Amino acid sequence: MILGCERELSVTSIAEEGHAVLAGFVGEPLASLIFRDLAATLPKLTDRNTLKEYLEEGLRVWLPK
Amino acid sequence: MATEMITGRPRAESHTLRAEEERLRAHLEQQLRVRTRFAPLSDVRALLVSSDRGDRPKSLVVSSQASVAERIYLYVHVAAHIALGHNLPLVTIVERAPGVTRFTDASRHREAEELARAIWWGQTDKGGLLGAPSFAQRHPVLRRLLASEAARGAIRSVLIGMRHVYYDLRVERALAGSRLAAWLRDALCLTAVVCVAPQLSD
Repeated sequence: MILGCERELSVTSIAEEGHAVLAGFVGEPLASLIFRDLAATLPKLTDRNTLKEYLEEGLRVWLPK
Repeated sequence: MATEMITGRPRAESHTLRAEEERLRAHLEQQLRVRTRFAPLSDVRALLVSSDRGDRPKSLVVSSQASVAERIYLYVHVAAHIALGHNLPLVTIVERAPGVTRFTDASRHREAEELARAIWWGQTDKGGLLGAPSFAQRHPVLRRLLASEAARGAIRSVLIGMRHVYYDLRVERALAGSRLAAWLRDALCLTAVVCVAPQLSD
């Protein structure tokens, strides 16, 4: 959940907020690495279902158990 | 990262091909710690998602629309990426739909393709047991024939015809353990994979 989405925040702001939220859970170094992969991979995925699979699989594999 | 594959299911999706796909998938999991699952992906063939630590399993999501032969090719290709160290921690390797390559991916993709070809033909041990069936792999005539697009189609038709004859004659029990049957199974498997991934040929 990203706070403030209903106020039509820019994508940059959402990414920054998402980064900050994730850093709170897993720490800044891991959050930075995850967002670096997202930035490189998201533009390659144009299909909504594929994007969902990638994000779900990423969360499952990336986040500490 | 693009994977050049000819779409459409090959006619030779036999039990042998499925058994080979299962063997390679098990090899990926046991030797390279790659867990495979299938999902309805539309614009990519596969995603290799790596953990932040090398000792944790990687996850390979393969399009459920990929044929068995395409899956075999993808496993060999992914093994090549891993052997080349492309699966950095937290980096996702995207195997895109045929014909779509990004400039930034092109060199890594080319490297993986060259190594995948060497793995497939048993010219390197980097893929472990991921190469083509050894009996057919050592057959130089078949390899030369598969290098030509026209000959590829012809050899596949001939092999499928031979398989029909084999079953029509009802000799499968008598010949089940023979070298002829083994060669026919392996040649069909190898041909089906090279037909959907011709870049594996010379």
